[in-house]
Amino acid sequence: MIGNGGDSPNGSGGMIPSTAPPFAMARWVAQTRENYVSVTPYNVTGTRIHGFQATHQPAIWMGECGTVVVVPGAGAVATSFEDRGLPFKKSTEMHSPSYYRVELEADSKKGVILAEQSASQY
Amino acid sequence: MLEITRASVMGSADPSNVTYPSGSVFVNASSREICGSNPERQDFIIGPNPAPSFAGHFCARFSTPFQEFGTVQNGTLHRDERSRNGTLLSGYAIFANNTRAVDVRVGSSFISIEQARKNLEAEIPDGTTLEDTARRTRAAWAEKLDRIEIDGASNEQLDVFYTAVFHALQVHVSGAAFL
Repeated sequence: MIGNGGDSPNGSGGMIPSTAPPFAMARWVAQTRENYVSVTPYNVTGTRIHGFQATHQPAIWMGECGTVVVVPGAGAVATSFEDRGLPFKKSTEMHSPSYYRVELEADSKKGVILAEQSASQY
Repeated sequence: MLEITRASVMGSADPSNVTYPSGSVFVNASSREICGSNPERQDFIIGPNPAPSFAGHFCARFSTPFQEFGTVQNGTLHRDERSRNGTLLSGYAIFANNTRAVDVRVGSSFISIEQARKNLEAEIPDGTTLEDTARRTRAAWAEKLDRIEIDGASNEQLDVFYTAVFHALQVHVSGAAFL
């Protein structure tokens, strides 16, 4: 998680704990906010996960390009960025370059989604 | 749901300054795929070349049959629709009520959806488990990080060092054999 601390562009190293092999074309990471020039898609201060994103953003200053987000959910399809964000407890997260997991609270009635993620070269 | 195109923030000064890239989504219940193309490119304001054909293409294949599917545009669901072009675009699939687990594998490409599908079939073909992929990716990292041996550092220093090597090898390089 080194380089991901702080919430502002000048307060963060701009690194993300993505899963992918070395030099992968796309890196997969849990999305805690919309990314753009100066903002990474994942940040340690995030409290909700809005999906799992294949990011091509190389360093925060180049922004994103040609991205897709896989959004899990339960119940009715939540279409907006805000509505689809699911809370999670940081204690359920496990980060590594080859595997990421987290438990997402789908709804107090609908229970928990266990999301596990890994990635290959493309 | 797969979000294909979104409101894209231009520049870093003002998060409310957005453009709306127009892409396409294809939902195929018989092959259990949601595929699409997103031409979003936030660095276009920096360089002189507009790259009008640029897009990121994706092919997502699900392990579980779709009970319901469709497209989404600007918040409106279009049930049973199999393709759509435009802005603020997504594809969705809903699975049966008693579904315990859904596996989804996504191939990506800068060339086409067909190439994204080929990459998916080449790298993580049907039957590959998440654990298989994680193990292979972990081995790929070990091969790089194990090239460096360090004596006499504390655990914290080792964390900092190997994280730095990880960061240095994270970002993609161009010129791969096929994209």
